[in-house]
Amino acid sequence: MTTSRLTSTAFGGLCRNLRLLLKVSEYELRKASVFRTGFLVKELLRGTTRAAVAIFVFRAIFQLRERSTIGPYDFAAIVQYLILAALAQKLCFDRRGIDLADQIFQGRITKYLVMPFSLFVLPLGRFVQFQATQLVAASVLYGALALFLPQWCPVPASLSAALLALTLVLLGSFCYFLMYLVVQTLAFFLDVVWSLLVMAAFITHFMAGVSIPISIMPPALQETFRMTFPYWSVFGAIEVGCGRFSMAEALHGVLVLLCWALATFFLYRFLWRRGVARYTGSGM
Amino acid sequence: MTLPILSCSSVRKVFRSFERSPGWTGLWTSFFRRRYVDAVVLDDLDLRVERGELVGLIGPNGAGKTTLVKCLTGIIPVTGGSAQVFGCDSFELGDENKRRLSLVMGQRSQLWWDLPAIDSFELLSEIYQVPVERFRQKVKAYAERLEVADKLGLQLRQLSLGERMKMEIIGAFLHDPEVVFLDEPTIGLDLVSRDVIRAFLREINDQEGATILLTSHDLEDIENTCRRLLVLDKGRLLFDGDRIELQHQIVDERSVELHLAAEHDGFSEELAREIESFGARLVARTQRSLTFKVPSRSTQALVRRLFEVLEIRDLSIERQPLEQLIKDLFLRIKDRR
Repeated sequence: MTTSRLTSTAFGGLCRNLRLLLKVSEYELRKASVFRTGFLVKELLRGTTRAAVAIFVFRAIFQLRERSTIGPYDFAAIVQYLILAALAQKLCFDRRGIDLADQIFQGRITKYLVMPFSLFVLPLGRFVQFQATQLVAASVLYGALALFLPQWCPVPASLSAALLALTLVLLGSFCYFLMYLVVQTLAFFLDVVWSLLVMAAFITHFMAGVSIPISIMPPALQETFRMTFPYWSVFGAIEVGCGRFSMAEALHGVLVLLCWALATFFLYRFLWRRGVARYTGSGM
Repeated sequence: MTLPILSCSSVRKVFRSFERSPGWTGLWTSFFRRRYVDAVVLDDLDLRVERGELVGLIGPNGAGKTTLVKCLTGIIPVTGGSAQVFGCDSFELGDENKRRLSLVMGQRSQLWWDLPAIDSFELLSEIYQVPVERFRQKVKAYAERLEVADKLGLQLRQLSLGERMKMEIIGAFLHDPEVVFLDEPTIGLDLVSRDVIRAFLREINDQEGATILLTSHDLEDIENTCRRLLVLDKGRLLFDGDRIELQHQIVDERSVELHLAAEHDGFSEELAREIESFGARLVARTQRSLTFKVPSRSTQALVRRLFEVLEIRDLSIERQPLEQLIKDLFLRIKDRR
């Protein structure tokens, strides 16, 4: 086969997969919006309660300690941090977003194994739908905050800082997606996937600084977390957006996230292939 | 010699599973030391299916039917021997070959629960790259044929079991597959839906030449649809042939039921002995009816004789139902063992 034919075949395959991905994403959106209350609660209000609770907790801590600052934050700064963390977390893929483990356990993936496509497209479609929906929801929430509570609304240092922060969050979200995919693929081998998912979500939320800013944690912990994707997808992104991290640090964050994305993707592929080879599907 | 569309050569499939010992002691010992047992699900199975055949696969629970389907569709690898589809190892099928086959699992939906069936069909057409015009024609024709044209826009969850299965079948045939595996497609369906599905399968096989392998517990499905039967038990192929052949192999009998004009008019002990000389036996007797089992070769002679000596008001001759044939087959195998 000539190089040009190889290129056109590969390009054709890519176009087909992209078309399929768009179709899956569109259907995922339709699925998510079938029940309107469910859509409002699960997709739009997702992640907002955690920030509200954390604000009340910090209010109590500030009153109890009779101090005006904790680390570099006064109460107004911590509220703004928690709002940004909630928005960033809202954009990061959720552990409940995919049900691959359930499908593996119940044998529902059996049918896909005889179809001429990569099953990765289905969860990826869900990821694309999730990201699109959450981007819109987060923008609406941010707009509402700026309109009705401008004194609490955090403002990015610059447009480029905001765009860089958004890049970090979206890359981080993809890492979250791949991490949950890896854990769910373990359903081929283990029956404790749901416990692992809850543990993974809890630990990564802590490492991301969703409820407690990482800058008030011990320095050794901060240094360790800097090498992980949750740090850059929430805390790192907020610091970049607010101009407290330099461009060089932001690029370092992008590199860390890319490395994590690649590593988790290959781990997923490895586990998937091993899993499918020993999978018995539904029924005997 | 043409290449078979499906073939198995000395196929063996063994599942390894962990065996838990009973009781408290068993709980502790099996926590620290696992004991595994091998279950042979398919054992030295040879099979060849030619293009365009409509084959019924039957057997009791645990016979290995679904496992055979899974080996042939490439869902699981075989432990020994070789399973091939289109001349390729079934577990190594590429996308091009996968596009040529389809699978319907009666107990697992391939359509999306929260969406109308038409949306799932559109996604399937994208996966199988069915041209838009062809897709529309197919959906329209099949939906009309299966009597669900007015249900295409309804959420799958709102459809009855029969309607859902019909949608599954439409989805499976949209891309003109050359081989279709149907695993218990009529499970739990009412008689009308079953008939419609059976007729559809026969039609597709006749008109489009699709090779169909149908697995079912409902022997009527097989009887009314398939020309060739495969009987599987404990992973072994007990029988491979058509129904007539099976009847020859077991006891080739007809069931003859006579309705007499008057109460046992003319029926005597002497006649009963004469009937036995035809190799027939009386299996039921009421005031005005007699039922015999008769070897098919003597049916004609016996009936002629009965008309001579009895005043018969009505007569029915029935073939032995497939279910009975299969039972006889299993009993015969059991006796041999």
